Amino acid sequence: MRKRGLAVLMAAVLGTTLAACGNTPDSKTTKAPENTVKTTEERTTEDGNDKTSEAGGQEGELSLRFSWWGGDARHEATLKAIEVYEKANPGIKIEPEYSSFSGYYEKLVTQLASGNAPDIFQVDQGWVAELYARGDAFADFSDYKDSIDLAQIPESMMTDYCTIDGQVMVLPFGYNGTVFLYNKTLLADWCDAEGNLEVKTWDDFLEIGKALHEKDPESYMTTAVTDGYLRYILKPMLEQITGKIDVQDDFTLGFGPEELAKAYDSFMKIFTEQVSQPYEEAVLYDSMQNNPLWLNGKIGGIFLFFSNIDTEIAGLDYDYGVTAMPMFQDAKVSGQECCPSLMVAINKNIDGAHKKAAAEFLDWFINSEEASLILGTVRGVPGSASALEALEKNGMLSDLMSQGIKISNDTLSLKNGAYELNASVKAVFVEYMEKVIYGVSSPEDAAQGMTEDLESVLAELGKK
Amino acid sequence: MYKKDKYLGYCFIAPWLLGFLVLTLYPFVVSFVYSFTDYDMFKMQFAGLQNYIDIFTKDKIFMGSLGKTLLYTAVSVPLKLLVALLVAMMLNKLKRGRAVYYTIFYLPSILGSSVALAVLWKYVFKKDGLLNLLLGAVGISGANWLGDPNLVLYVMMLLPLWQMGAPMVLFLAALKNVPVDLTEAARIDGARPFQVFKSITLPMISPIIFFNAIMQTIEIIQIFTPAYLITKGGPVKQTYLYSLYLYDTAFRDLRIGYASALSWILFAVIITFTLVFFALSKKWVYYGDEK
Amino acid sequence: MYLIVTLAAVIVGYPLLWLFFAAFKENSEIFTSIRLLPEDFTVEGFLNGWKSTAAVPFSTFLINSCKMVIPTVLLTVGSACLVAYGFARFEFKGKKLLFTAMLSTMMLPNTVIMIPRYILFNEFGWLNSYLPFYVMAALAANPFFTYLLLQFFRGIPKDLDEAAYIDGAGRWKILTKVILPLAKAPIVSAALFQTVWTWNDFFNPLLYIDRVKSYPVSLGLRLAIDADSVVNWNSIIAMSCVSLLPVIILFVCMQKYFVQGIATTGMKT
Repeated sequence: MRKRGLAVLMAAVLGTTLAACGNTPDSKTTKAPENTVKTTEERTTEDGNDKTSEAGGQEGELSLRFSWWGGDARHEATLKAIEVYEKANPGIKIEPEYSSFSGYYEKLVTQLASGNAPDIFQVDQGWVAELYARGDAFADFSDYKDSIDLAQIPESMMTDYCTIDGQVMVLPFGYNGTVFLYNKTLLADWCDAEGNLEVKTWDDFLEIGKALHEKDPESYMTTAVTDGYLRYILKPMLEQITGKIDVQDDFTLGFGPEELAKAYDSFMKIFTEQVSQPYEEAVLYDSMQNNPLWLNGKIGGIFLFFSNIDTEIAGLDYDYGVTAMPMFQDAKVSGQECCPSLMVAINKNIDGAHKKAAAEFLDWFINSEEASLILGTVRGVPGSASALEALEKNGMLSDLMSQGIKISNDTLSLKNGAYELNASVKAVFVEYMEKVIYGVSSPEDAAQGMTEDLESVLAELGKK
Repeated sequence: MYKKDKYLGYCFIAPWLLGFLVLTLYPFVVSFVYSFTDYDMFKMQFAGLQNYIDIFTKDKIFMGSLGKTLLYTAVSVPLKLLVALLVAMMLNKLKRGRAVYYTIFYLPSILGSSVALAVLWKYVFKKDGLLNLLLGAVGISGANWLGDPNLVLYVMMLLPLWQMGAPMVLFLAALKNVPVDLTEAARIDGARPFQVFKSITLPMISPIIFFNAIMQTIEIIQIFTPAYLITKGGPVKQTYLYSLYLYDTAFRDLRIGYASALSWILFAVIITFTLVFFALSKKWVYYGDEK
Repeated sequence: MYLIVTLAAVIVGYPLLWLFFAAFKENSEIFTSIRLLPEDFTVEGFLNGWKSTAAVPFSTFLINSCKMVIPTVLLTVGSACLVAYGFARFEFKGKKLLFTAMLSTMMLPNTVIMIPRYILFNEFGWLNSYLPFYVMAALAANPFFTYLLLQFFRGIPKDLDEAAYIDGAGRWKILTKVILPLAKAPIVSAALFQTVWTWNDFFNPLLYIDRVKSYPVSLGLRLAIDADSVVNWNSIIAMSCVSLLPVIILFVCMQKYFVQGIATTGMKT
């Protein structure tokens, strides 16, 4: 049986590819291939049918492809919102194309390059400038003002992050700011009578950290993932020293090697004074949820985006509080990242009807109370004023998150440079940060090397 | 002795030939052309030999990454083949329970590059992980295997060793094809096991040894999983293997032209190795169809 | 002997056993405890993961994987047998060159091929179906399998072919009646490898398939992994185990084909 099946199959392969070749094997086996070939054809047509019926076969139906990345909660909430929208708008079909973060960008750029990108797609703030400059990928939202209420997005967010060359290229789903989330149980000794912790300066932070580690050698004041050490500690320190955006929009740096070396000196103290979990241990975990010290309540606190507070403490039985980032005594700005994080764009290369329908859908998705209540904070604290109001009114923001928002809003900070979170730029930062942490380079050498490499990466990005 | 089969051979290889012309040749040629351009997925500009010149003169990462990849390949390919062959020979000798052992040794390969792999490796190799627990039991204080830049590359070499299912299965299939009468006759003639192995088994399975050596070299030199999934190339770029560098250049920096040039350099390296392998193979590989 | 094999099996297998039991643990225990057995057994990971991974019932991913893998494997084996036979037993002009060309297609890193290939499949209208996988398999696009069978075919003495030829068998019959029965083990191995590789393939389906309802397990398993969300590792690990199960069963079923080699079927040299 098995052998015959194989022979039939091979004949099928030979038959399909080689119908023209004269020297076909004896007639007994040639009959079989036709059958097999037919079944393959059937399968393909079946697939084809599938496609048309799923991708909006019914007449008059307009289908929109919408892609995003995320975890379970985001997928489930978004699908539910789509379902509600489709019910209310029978002519519209939203095709969800969601995935995990890994591979999303690779796929998106491949799709953009071959003109096959979704109609609506989620983007990271760090990609926007580059995709605009290279790919001209985004439709201008201001052309669809009648379909989508742009006034719900705060003015400063609109100018700083959404508008390029006078066109509204992206809109924010959620926005973020950096705060310090601390474990009140572990840090009880250093909290005031109400149980609140105050760490105004980095010196305070180091003091408490040292004392904590002395008291319990297993505990550390803080930890982070690789990206976190860079974005929540090293870069804020650097911005506090310079008072400038570190990667500016004209492709220059807001700091010199000396200032960077100074930032490295302060940064390294969190390791040398054992205030942070040793980097070589922290580096193994790609999220706090995998870090045993955090899970066991042995970490004083972590720097994070206020949108992520609920995620990081999910399932943990400790008492938590939030406070602002520490600053150097004479610093003018905090260096926190306070910006929209997840953004959304409409594909430029689709027809007007689709663009209009996409804008209408996004208006509902971003601004409406109905959608906001389904979506909650799965894409961070909403950037849209009406959505945020809906969540506040219905008590859908946790106390810690509300506190985090307030703290972050009260802190003076600079905007993110357009290329500051660009992946190539960040890779250079990480490379040299690790060199310093592992003692491969001195802070001075690393500062020199990093400045040079950044300049060449920025030159490449500025080339267009 | 066969008649009129001058062209019959083409008929049999036609599926591949067609696939080659339609599906493979185009991407190949295109990527070769890209390697002489500045291409960022959206715009293309002719750059002549600039990419290649930059790789050899300006690139700070290229040499280190290629060197680590070659070291990785040079150590893990022979070890992987040796382990696979030894395990296959042992399994071949087993009389009972073969199926169970066989499955166990193949299981890691079924796991492939699943996301669970990263969880598993960290569980074994982290500071307070399984390995250090065992070492601690015999009084050795273990290192931080994945966090120590001096060790991490070597620890990662264990991954292909652990996932040696494919060559093992092939070795076993080859060992099965060694006629029992031949080895038994030799043994009756008084040959020692090692002599039987060297003069009968080894030549009989040499085509498969050769196949495994070539394929594993090609595969491991392009290995992507350990760096991408477990270490992200770190710490301090110690596991930044060539394929990950290539991937970052293409998809993170969107420098497709440069990445294509990097690819063709790797292609040249691999094909050189392969040609040397083939040239050397004439001395030690025996085929049953040779007269 | 058994001692050594058992010891080796424990070293290889223990981490996998831990992984299996991790599926029964609470999320935080997976990362904080070194023990093999969970403190409290919970099958929640299996139940939740099966009911819905990223809002899709897990069985959908499994069925998709089968739809993608089974035809791919059969076509791979079929095409590889033909092409390998062509290279092993025929003389024709340019054979060496073509063979070299075939092998060399394995040597260019996939990263740079992915984009032009994607564009090609997009032109053909094959995206969002499993056609790219089927066609690549039917056209022997992975030379690994062809070369593997070629190596084994070359080990079969030509005298056998010639004897059959003298008895009046055509070239096709020689392949099906003489060569293939002797090459069962490598053919089954090839099928097994292709099953495992296609089953685990992540990047190709990621690029070619947009619709989540058509995702195979390899993509489905990663859908829920996100650094900014709560990740239920126990259900991901549980579903990883479930997704390995069909392949393990297949492997166990196919074993007898490796175990009975030519030596027992009485081939003479």
